[in-house]
Amino acid sequence: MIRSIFLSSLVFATLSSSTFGKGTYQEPAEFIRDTFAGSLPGSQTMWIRKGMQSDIMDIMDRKLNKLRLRYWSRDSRFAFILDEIGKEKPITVGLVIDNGEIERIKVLVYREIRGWEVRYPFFTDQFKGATLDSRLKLDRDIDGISGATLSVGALTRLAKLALFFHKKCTENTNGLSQP
Amino acid sequence: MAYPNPSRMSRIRSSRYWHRYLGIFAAVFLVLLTITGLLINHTNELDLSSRFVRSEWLLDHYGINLPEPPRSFQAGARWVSQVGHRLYSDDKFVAETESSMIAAVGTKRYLAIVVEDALFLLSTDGRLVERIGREAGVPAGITIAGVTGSGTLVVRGSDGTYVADDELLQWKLLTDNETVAWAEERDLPGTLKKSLIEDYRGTGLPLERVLLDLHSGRILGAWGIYLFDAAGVIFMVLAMTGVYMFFFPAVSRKKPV
Repeated sequence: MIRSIFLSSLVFATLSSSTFGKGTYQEPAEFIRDTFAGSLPGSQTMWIRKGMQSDIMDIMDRKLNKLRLRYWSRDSRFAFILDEIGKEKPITVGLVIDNGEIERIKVLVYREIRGWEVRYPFFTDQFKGATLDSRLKLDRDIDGISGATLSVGALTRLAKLALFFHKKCTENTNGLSQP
Repeated sequence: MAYPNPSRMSRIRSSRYWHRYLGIFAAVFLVLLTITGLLINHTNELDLSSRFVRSEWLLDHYGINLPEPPRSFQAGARWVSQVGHRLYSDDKFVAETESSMIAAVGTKRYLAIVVEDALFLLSTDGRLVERIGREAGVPAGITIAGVTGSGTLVVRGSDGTYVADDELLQWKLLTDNETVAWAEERDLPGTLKKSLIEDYRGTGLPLERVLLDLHSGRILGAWGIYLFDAAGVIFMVLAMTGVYMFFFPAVSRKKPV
């Protein structure tokens, strides 16, 4: 009896683990509303200028595949919705930056089969208060998760990218200008 | 020197016999498992999940076919198509989407690909400007899209028909007196259709998948797994016969003088 319960649990765990973590945890629009206490501020845009691509390359190990960034801001707080591929599929992440420090990171949509543990606060809370130094590195080490190395890497890159974009947005007084 | 026990000699000869013949059979599997195992161990460094198999017979073997025929719209001089989850501008890949394409229209400044819950904006030279979702004010439940006489994007959503500004930053309800040319689905020219289907199939099977299936035997179907199970058992037998022969070596067959 005990053996059959154990085997059934093992089979269930194996079958469910492949789809368990996939899904939409929060709609991006809802994340923005949460961030700005219920109201949705109008979005703003910043063109990704050619000069920014080399820094983006340093952070992401690839060029950004879009020409314009959309963000939301009120006072000193900025929110970004960014995507990055963990292993094969993009992970959609909401990031809030306040005064050049990460206030909050949340995995909104997770599409990979493995590595979904990165959505839990025990991991994302490590980024709270993180800043970007002049070498485009975070000011702290982020502890990884066994079996989720690529997703951890993706979220770390997005944290750096959001801090970089925040810096550029605050520098850029004319965000709507053409590149 | 005494002759060895005949039954022990027989066991040694039997071990040697099985070790030789099973060894030849197992060698093929051992080489295959070693090569595929080494490659799988370095999947990330070799970027095997982003390299795709182009072999037609392998793609056919895996059943990598179109889920449905490509859907296309003509926007100005460009053809915009959806093949599976992939969006194309002419024969150039634009982006992946989980939603169905509703329309593609050329606005004053952009080429807008409208999917159920978002827009993909392309520059006039076909580069992706950005994806705009509901969080940026795109109306919900889009069923049809078109363009006004002045070249601005119009979408009919679940709670009204909206027109965007030139930069697609703001949306307002469409007034009745504006005429709209609604986008209509068109048949893709044959050569472009063929090229898109080839590209879609060519990105459907990562090399990593094939290596994993070669390593486990799944590439040969259900029986392939049992075949590789058998190879595993043979490796065990080889290990045991090898150890046996190491500790009980055959004595010289030459009779003592």
